[in-house]
Amino acid sequence: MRKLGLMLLALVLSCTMLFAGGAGETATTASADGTTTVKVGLICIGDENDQGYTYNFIRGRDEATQILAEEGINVEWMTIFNIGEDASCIDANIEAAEEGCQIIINNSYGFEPFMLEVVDDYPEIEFISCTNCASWNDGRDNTHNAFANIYEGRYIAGVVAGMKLQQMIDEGQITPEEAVIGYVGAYSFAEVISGFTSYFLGARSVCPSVTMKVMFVGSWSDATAESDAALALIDEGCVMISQHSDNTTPATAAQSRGVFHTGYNNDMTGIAPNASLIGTRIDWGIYFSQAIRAYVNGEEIPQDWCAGMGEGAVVMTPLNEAIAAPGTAEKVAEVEAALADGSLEVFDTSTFTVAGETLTHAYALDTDGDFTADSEEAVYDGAFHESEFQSAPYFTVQIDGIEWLNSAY
Amino acid sequence: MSMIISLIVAAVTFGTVLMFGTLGEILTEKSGNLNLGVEGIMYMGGAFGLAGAFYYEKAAGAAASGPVAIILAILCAFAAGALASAIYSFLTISLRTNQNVTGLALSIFGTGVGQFVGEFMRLSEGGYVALGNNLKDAFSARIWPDALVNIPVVGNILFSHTVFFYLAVVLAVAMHFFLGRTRWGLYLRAVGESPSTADAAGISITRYKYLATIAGGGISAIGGMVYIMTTAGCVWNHEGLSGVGWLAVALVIFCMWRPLNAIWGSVIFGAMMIMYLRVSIPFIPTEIYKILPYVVTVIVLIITSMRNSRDKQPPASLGLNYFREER
Amino acid sequence: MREERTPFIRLAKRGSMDPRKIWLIRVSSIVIALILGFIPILLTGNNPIAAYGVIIDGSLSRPVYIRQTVKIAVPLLGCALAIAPCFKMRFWNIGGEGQITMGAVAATFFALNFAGTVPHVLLLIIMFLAAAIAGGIWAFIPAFFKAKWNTNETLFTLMMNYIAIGIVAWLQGGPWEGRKGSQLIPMFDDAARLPNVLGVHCGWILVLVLVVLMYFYMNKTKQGYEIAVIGDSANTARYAGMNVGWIIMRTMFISGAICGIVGFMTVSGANYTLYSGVANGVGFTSITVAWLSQLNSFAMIFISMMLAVLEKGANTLQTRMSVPASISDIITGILLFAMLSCEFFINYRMILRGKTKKEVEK
Repeated sequence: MRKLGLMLLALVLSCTMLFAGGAGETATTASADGTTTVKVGLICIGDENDQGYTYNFIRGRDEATQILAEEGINVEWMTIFNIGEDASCIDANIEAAEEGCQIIINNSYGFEPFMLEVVDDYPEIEFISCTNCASWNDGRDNTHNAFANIYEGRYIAGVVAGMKLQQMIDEGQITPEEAVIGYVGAYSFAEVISGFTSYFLGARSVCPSVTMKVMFVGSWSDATAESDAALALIDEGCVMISQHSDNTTPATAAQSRGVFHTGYNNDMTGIAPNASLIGTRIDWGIYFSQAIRAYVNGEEIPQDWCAGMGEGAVVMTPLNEAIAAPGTAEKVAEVEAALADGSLEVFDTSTFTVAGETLTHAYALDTDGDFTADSEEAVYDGAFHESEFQSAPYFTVQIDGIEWLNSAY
Repeated sequence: MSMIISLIVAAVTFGTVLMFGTLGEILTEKSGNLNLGVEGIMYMGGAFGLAGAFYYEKAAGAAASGPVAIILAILCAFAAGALASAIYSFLTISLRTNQNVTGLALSIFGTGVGQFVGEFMRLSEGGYVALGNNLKDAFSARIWPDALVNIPVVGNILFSHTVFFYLAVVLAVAMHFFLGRTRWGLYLRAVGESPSTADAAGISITRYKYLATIAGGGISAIGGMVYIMTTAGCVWNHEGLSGVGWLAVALVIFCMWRPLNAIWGSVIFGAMMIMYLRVSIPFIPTEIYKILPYVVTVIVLIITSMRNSRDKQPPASLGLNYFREER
Repeated sequence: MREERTPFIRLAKRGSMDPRKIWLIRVSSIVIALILGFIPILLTGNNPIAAYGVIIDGSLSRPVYIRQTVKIAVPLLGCALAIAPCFKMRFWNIGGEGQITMGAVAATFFALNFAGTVPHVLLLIIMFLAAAIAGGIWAFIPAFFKAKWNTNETLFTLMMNYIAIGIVAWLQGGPWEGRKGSQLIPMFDDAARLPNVLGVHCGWILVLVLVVLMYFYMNKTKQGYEIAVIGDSANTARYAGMNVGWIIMRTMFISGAICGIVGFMTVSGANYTLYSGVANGVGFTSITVAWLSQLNSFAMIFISMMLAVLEKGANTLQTRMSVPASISDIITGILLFAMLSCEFFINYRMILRGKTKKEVEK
């Protein structure tokens, strides 16, 4: 046995000699024609088949490649798909680093703690964790965060949904009390709470009688559970479905039951033409191109990047005119303008109550690592200021009118 | 009341997937083969079933017809599962390898093949593999007229499902008659219960084991296809099927190796897996719901072994290979 | 009616075979399996030789890669060692997955609650012991029912896996959750982490020690002998006056305890936190490792390294050549099939019948 082991070891080692070499240079290479090549790793929780979250990142990736190519920057991407929010993320980051990536982008919230296990071994590589928030006080120079004000897009999607519900009420299809939105959420934490609250406030701004039920599925990406949750919500009487989860199955569930839907991450009107009204998504191409450009030019990648509709970082997908309520497009344009010029605050504290009271106080940041915000007052000037102190959302208040059907997640 | 009805209807969707997986494994285990590769087999069924329908649609374009796509998906899934089980059969029956180990190897292999095919389609099709809306609707369409579905209470429970549910029920009933009433069925059971007696009676052990295992694998694989085509929205889902095969193995025990029990057993298991979204009981965390099927199965397993009644046991030779010369 | 006929191929058990020939068969089965692995690679339009080159390169060419590979091999080897005595006894413990998970749970309990208050080494020892006990108890449950009522252990241990995994899923979203709603248990404090030796957590030293210990346990101790006797025939063991039920329970406890230790090493040395996928299929894959090694501890080192090379290499293959990483599962599966089959040709001799009749019944 041992002799054989030795033999095979020798074989393996000789193979290694043969195939070793290559890989390993890490500096940006400027070629003769004046273009620069940079290698960027993108670690994804799913793949394009979700037609949602990860697909949206891939679109951002391709868009950034195009933008930068025109400036003479070639981006060589290394995309790693289907990584779980677990230790496989450590391995994926090591893999990307060893294979010569100069920037490594982690696309899911739960990747960050695992990414942080790797960053100190590769101080020359820039690590970006999208949608998370550790970089501001982790004491490292090579970690970054990024997110966009998706709550603005959700507010507008909410307006579209609210107009549809109001139309149904006006036409007598449902009573005012039956205007119930069902929301499929991934987890009961800030990013999701902030999202569905803004969505709800958007809907209520045009349909005063609306209420909302939220169901959490306990996963960012679980096509079946998302579908099951949407169906359960519809069975509970919801006539409008929206989602903060990665797949398109809530849209197909809505379509199959003849209720309406607004999407996230992607235009879902092709998949559910009779149900999906509009969607909103983050345009990651804006950030990716900025970050990579900064790296190539030797500038700092922003420690925490955040932008909104004004900068084009949050966009609406095309409105499904065939089924949307009349006048929706005009209303959307009006709200977009109001958000851009600052005359409209999404979390205007006069538009919602918490246990019957107006919200006057909420902290934004967690400084001692106990996962409860304890500094920086977010409520001032009559509004809760989301994503101002850090890009990752921190709105965790449960407002009146939204019922959580389960909260264990 | 309406909540219970909607729970049952929703449970049937996932239950149908399990029913195929379980019926296949019951047939396999009746021959004395414990095929632990169901997990891999269902993965393969899902990937190849989707591939069959997808490439058919690609070839036929807008003219693609729903029934043809469904039949193709069933055939492709069955073929994939049968092929995987043929490997298992060849190894365990002809080459006499250990059933547990071979089954686990098949689980690893099948999961790999399923994910590989799913990924490969995505890469070769430039990012996204899904059926068009027409075919998608065909897979999840109700088959009975609205008049039946609209009958209060029973209408929804009995008539609101996809064609796959009824196929599975027909299969369960057929298998019940096959095992209990036909000569071949009796022979098959004899092979699983006491191969040496069956051998002495002139029954070809090898032939029955091969046929039952291969057919069983094919049936299980259809379950994987049904999962991808109904609950997962006709899109390949990298991790979606993980654990479904093992749940089917558990369900075989829960059903006491009887096909008819699989009909209600699968609906109960299906309900347990989605109950956390619909029924919240105070003080019981929702995640705990999901382990209920396994807990219940363990309890069934223990009780049957304690009572030791003859007709509620696993086939006596389950997991053991038969070597004539060691008789 | 059945007519008596000579089968086409008759089988006879071989007495013994030239060891060199045995190894030739085994090595050629591996080679054949690797060649069969060409098929999926060719499907993706890549050169199989180059792809295998990338697998080797991505797993062994740099210190970092070797460390990553060893990190994959350690739990495989540890769990295979745990499985060996059970399988020797013909007790089919396929619950390694759950035993690893429960060990990890116990270790995590102390890591989360006592880091900072208990000194580093002491904390690690406590975590080690807690994991061993928890894993042992988890394995003891099915063994108890097997011994008492002959409950089918294959199915029982299988079910216990998913119960354990479900418990972790609950802990993740419940009592041990970090940031509210995130379903993530916080990363361990440094005090609860295994130190690295040569860049890999020191669990690798531990499993190598276990290899030697297990070898002695199985081959040189009375308990190891008892296990072997039961494996040959439980009835013989009973006639010889052995308390078979007790031996089953004892062996399973030891097996579960080692699995639990693997769980401890995984959370404390590799993952630094607990999540429901902590066992990651190791409990199943290690069964094949143990079986292919013929339950020989030293052979397990080689087999587990081989599977680890495939797994790590396939990740690099995916990033460099866009071959889906699931290729490693396919090749692993083919390897297992081939190596399982080859034992048949070692153990049996085929006697072909004279070519007069043409029935194909075997």
